[in-house]
Amino acid sequence: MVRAASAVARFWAGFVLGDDPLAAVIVAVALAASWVLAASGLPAWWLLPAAAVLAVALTVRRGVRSGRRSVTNR
Amino acid sequence: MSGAVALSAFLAASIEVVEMVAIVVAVGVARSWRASLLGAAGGLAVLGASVGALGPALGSVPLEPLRLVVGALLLVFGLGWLRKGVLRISQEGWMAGAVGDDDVEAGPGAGFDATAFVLSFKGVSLEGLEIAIIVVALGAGAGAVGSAAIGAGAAVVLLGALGALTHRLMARIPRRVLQLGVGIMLAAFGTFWAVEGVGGHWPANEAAIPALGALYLGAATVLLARARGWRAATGL
Repeated sequence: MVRAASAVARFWAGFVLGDDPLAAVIVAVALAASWVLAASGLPAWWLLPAAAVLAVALTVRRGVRSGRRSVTNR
Repeated sequence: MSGAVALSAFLAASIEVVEMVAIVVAVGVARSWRASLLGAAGGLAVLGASVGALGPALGSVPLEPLRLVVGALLLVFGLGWLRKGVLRISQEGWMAGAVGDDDVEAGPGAGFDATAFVLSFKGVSLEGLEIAIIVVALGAGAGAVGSAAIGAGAAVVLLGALGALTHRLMARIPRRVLQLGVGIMLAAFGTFWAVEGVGGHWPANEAAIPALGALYLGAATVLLARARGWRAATGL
């Protein structure tokens, strides 16, 4: 039971965080900021795409700098 | 049988079905057909149980929290694949090597692909729920739930068959290119749903999805050139 729960937790952690958790962190912050904008009645649609582009640019740069290719099965 | 209600339901459901089929086919080609189809079947089973249990009350199910969770997960996952696609293509090129050469390294392995299952399950259950709500809203409003269900069902069958026909074409594309393409698609759907989930509104409604795809494709193109430069600068 514990082993199964641990496997499920590992799967979801890998699923959400991926090879570079920076992308998940940027998306989470951008979603929180988008919620604040939407709740204030301001346009919120532009923030998440901009944050996503920033996230992928930063994680690609980190991937190149680390000098290793991602070979996980996700 | 109301033809007008059936046609309205067909057209309204088609948009959701296209999104559903696109995710199932893309995940099936890029990862595992078995897991993707099982995920789709699981999503449909949960959807069927929900529709059976809730009936007309389905129209009052709050979609925003679902869109936020599913959208955020698809976006993060899609960005991960986009990153991997850019890194691999910047190193190996678009079409270098035989098709499937990188499957051994990057494939889901011999076991059951839980990731593909979850991706398809989430896509189908969320889109399916939206289709069910369309059927209930259009059908109940006109007193013709059966006609609305027939229209939406026809959309699922016709567009599902179209999706099945495209998989042979997609299977000829190298995995790293698929990874980039599917990453762009998942990120586009995920961004769209997540913004709606936090209460935001898109200027052009669902037309924003292809626009988001174009944005991420443009970003990937720029990043591919930049990544080659970064590799050259670091001597990798």
